[in-house]
Amino acid sequence: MSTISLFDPAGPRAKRRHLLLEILTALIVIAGAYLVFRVLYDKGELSAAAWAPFAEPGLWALLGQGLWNNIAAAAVGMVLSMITGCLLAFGLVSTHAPLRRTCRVYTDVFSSIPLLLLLYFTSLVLPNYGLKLGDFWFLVIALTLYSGAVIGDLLRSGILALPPGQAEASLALGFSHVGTLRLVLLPQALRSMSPALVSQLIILFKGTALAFVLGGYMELLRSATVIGQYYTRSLLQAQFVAALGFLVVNIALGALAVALERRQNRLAAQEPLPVTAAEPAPVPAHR
Amino acid sequence: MKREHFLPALAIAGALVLGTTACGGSTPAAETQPARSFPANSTMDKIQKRGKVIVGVKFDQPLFGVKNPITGKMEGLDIEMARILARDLTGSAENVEFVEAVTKNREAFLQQNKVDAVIASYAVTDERKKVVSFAGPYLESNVALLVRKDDSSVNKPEDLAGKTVCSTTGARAAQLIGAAVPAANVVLFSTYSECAQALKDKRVDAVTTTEAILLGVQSQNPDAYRIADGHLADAEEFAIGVAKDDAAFHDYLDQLLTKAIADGDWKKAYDATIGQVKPGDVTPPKVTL
Amino acid sequence: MSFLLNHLGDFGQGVMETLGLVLLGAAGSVLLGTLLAALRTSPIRTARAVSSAYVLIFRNVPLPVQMVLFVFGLPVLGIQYSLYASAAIVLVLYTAPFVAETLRAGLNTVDRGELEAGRALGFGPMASLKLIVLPQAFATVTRPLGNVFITMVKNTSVAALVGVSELTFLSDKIAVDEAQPFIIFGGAALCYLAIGLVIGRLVSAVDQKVAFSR
Repeated sequence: MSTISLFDPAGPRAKRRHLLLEILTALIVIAGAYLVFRVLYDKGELSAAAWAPFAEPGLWALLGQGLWNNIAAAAVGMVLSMITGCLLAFGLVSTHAPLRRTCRVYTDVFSSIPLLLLLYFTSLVLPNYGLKLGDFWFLVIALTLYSGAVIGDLLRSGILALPPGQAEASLALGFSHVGTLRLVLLPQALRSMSPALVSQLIILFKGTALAFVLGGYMELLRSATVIGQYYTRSLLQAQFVAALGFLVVNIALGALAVALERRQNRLAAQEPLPVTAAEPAPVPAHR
Repeated sequence: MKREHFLPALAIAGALVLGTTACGGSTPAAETQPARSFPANSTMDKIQKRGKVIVGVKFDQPLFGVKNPITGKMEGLDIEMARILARDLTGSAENVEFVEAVTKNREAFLQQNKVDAVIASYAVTDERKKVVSFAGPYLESNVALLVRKDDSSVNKPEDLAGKTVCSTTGARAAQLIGAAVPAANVVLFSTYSECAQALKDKRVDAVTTTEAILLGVQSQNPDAYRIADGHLADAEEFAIGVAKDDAAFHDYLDQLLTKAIADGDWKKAYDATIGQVKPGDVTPPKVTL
Repeated sequence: MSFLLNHLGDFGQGVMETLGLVLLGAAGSVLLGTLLAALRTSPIRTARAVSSAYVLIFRNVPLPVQMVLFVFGLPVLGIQYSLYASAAIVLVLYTAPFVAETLRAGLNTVDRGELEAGRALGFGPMASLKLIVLPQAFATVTRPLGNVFITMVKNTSVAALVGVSELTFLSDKIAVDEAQPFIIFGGAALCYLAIGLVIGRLVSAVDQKVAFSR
């Protein structure tokens, strides 16, 4: 990613100054890290007693299971939100005004409500209506309601960003509106929006950590809290390990998003081969 | 004996031997015949037919109901009570299915018959009595204060005036302390360990909840905390929650608890759990609910 | 419905605290985010590395985890603020990377020619940033920045996890006390909706005003 250069290329004096500043900054960072380490050590947070539970493989199994639960909820949530989002996108670009308006209201409402509020809502309200679901489904439903609206909006802008010629050609060929959307516009919108969709997946995954308030679903942050309840000396250690777990998975997902975006740019930049009226040239010169 | 009597005798002897081994054996299978039978359609009968009892318990409340993070086994006084129930109804203490019940959904679980009973550090309050029925209690405990070991300024609830005290969202202790000491600042977190950490960090000056829970925290951190001498005037009663209209099950549970207290099962359960952090004699509760 | 009136004061308090968090979060994250984006353009490699590392870590650790670690973990290092201040600080720390990344995209749209002209006129790097680059960058990204802020409004609800009596925390408490979840949460949702709509309108208005500079 190229960044703007505010500065002229550095001359020898500037180079020396930069080197000095680099060394200085590095020293400050190292000193800071050392201070933190020292304080943690003095307060006993790095002691064997606080980290003792982590010597047990069973604990790591619990944490691993917790992380897996986050991933599972995020995956199911993503699939359901994609479906909801596609349906919503259809509604949002529909020529049928009432449908369009209803979808617009739904999208605006559910992209403004915090996920935590939705979670509290599903866990307290749904049981009253006789829906005997596990906490997994409360989480997934809340995630779907939340993400579905965002994805619907994303896909809508993706569809609207496509060249109008696509839709016109498709209609000229005799496809219905819905057919056009389904076969021509939506697939392209999905492809062009794929980096943004992966970003939404990351947001979804981060949102699964909120399930720790529900109490019933043993995801990673909750597992860390339970470990902290059982081994009250190790609350911080457990939370720290949970943070690392989330960090690693999210960085991986982020790398995936960047790779997808690069691929997208590469594909978009490729010129289609020109079609000549004469017999096909043996090897097109510009390739 | 005469030959024509031999085989039948052998058969009868064989049946007797098999019968005694079946009855006296320790197979924790659901086919073991329980001693009593109950009226059809009663909860007890339903449980027997099902072969196991479904109990809502806490998974994160040390000493009451907690899932050991390493072994995955359930531990705590509530768990032991559930096992006593299972043994009485189905013949084996293993025929229990534990469902996680958090503070917020205990009433909903009973109202929707998601579980047969709720044994989840369930304190008896008048508001809850309107919605569910309580059997027991199986434990009486004071509402105590946990303070920093080197902090001698807080020894009784009244000392909390102008100070900050922590409890968990939905805990009855939070309401009680607010009523008893209006000048105290009450802070609510989601778990006791967070409260304990805040106490260590000097963010709060005391943590308040059931004494048993505080003892558990204190025993793991003997250098950091101590239990204050004074406690709140109202003691808490922990009881088994059942559906409001299930009088038969309620009475059965009362009988079961009275029996367990009388023949020592209750004391064994207590010693194995809370008794580990609170050594010494304890008077079993009177079953009054 | 009388219980709604009983709790109107609580609702009001919740909305006030939420709005406070939104304002503090917006101001702080813009400041920190601008700093982070500016550091990225520095010729000092370590400064760039620090900024990139910060963005990487604070964007990828979920906000609830950051909130919990900050409130319960940092006091061990001697850093302890009130719950409300802690929530505001974490909100800033979490949102700043998103502001920085959005700004970075905006920075890249500034024409090279402008920078060269600035250098020719004798503007130093700081002055170039302040007078030429940042104003244009901000103007370009008003809408995406607005989205970041609307997301931040939703993120203020995470402060409920650490006991801050903002809107989500209070509505949960009241809903449990009064056993009327639907109405209470519905009311809270409407409040969030209103705040989001107001911000959306503000962003549109600002966007129109700065449109000429794009």
